[in-house]
Amino acid sequence: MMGWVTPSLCLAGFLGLALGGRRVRRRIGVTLASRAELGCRVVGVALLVLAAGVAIGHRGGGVGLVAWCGHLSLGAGLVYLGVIRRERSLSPEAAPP
Amino acid sequence: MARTAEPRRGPGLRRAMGGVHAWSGLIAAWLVFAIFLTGTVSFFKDTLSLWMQPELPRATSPLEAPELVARWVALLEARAPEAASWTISLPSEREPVSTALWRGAEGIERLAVDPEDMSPVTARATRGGDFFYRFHFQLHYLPVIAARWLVGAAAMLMLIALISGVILHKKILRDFFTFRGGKGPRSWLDAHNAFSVLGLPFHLMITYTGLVTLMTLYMPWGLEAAFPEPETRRQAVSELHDFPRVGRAAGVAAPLVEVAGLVADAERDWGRGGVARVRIEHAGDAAARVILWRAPGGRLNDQGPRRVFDGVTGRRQDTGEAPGADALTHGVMVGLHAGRFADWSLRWLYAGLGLAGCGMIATGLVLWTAKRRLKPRPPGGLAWVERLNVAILAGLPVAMAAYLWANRLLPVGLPGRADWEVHAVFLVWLAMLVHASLRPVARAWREQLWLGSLLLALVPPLNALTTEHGPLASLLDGDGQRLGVDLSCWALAALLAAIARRLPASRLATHRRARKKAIAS
Repeated sequence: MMGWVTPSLCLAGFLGLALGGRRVRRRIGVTLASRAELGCRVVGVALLVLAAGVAIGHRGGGVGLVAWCGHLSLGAGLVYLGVIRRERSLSPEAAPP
Repeated sequence: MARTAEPRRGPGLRRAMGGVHAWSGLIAAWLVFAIFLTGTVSFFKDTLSLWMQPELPRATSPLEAPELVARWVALLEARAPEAASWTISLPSEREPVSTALWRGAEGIERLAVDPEDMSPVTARATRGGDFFYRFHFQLHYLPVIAARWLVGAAAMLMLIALISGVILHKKILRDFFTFRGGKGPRSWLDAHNAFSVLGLPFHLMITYTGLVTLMTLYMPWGLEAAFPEPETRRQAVSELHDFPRVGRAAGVAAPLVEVAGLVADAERDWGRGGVARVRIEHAGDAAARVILWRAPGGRLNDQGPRRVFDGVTGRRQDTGEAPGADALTHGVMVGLHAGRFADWSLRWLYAGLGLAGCGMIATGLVLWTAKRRLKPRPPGGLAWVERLNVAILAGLPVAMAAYLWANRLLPVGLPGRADWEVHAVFLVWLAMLVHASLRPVARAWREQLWLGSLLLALVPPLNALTTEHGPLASLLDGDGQRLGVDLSCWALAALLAAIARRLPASRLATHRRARKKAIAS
């Protein structure tokens, strides 16, 4: 059960960071107030830090940090794919033939 | 008033790094791709070896470690009493059989037994996953030391390419989630950046620690200065690699201590299954020694604690203290690289990031050619770079799939069978090179990717036809390891098919597509 917490936090953290970026929001058709934009970034970073704490608490300092780094890449990769998918669903011409 | 002309600035750091990145990447990329791909498979080398030896039993209730070791000692005392040492590997989740190694009259001898009843196990001759593991740092058909130097040079160029790539990528965070599809070189650049940045900590770690694992070969001078005598230097290297050298026999007979008791004591401290290996040196001699190695599970340090005992009295000979900072650093570096500490979820993360590394190298190579293809006068030799790209990026997966086919199709009794499995890999790879040289590049890409996909997709049915461990049987038997190999073959087949589907059938089709887009916009 604990094994899912770190990847979920990383995923949520990168989602926050992605929504905090103006260029990404434009591509996926999301509008946010500038205060909300900053909030997304702060929450995103906080979730990533929290994920590190959970991973280290669960697996220990060494293996926990390795797992956290791996889950960071996993979370970022999933958000990356999600952004591409969302962008293509909004404008099919963005999709490669 | 005429504005004074500003002095022209020389090429900036980023521009300089652009050249370093492109050329260090290009020179090393083909070899590094092969190293990354075979290294990624090596994270599952024991699982692959199990799949490639369908005769091996799946021990569900092995004997307790002390009992197993006691039986091994009795067996080896009868079978190899003259051997200087016996090394016994205890079964684990990844390795279901128990094996012993010793140096006999005909070189290194090996015996594998079923850990449930100590019955000998005979499996088909194969190098299994160990072939990919060895290939990723010492290649094949080449002198070992020369090959390791070659791999080290490629890894160093890769490290330079990674660092220069970070300096080059000025908007690393701003462009983090950017992908512009269907835009030629721009799309390849975005894909290259994505694969690079997403796995950057892993790419840096795996490249640097890979160099560290062979540091005594690449930078021997410190060791030579500290240990001028060859014998003490060899001893130091053995200690660094956690494999102490076997001492000399005293030539005086003395009974061997009860090794099972030592194993039982160690398991009380390290937990059940905590002992991975046992080495007994000069059994029956006054200079006998027993060494127990702890299983690496859950610890980064690959060179985990070991206990050394006098083989006659059973007295501890090691101090029991933690290793020094140098040994600890080296052990953690090797542990990080090999990932032996990782449970199944972390191993899959390692494998996924290894594949991301392959993606980074592959997209970098394609980007290099795509950018130059657009120039009015493409540089000479570009066609050969493109053909080599096909033969290595698409041809290697085909050759690796052929290894699994050879394992199932070559007769079990064929002399030199294990070698022929490996020859099959290189013969198929050579065929892919010839194919890439003869066919139009765009078609060669698609044909080799489709071939790789087809070969991998048919591995599980072939497995079901030739063994009793097909995917369905493994599923019903609860054999997750063998089932995992079959499912991975299907997943990789789907990946290759997806890439092949996205590639244009010919260069003409690419131009037509670009023109259609231009008209539409």
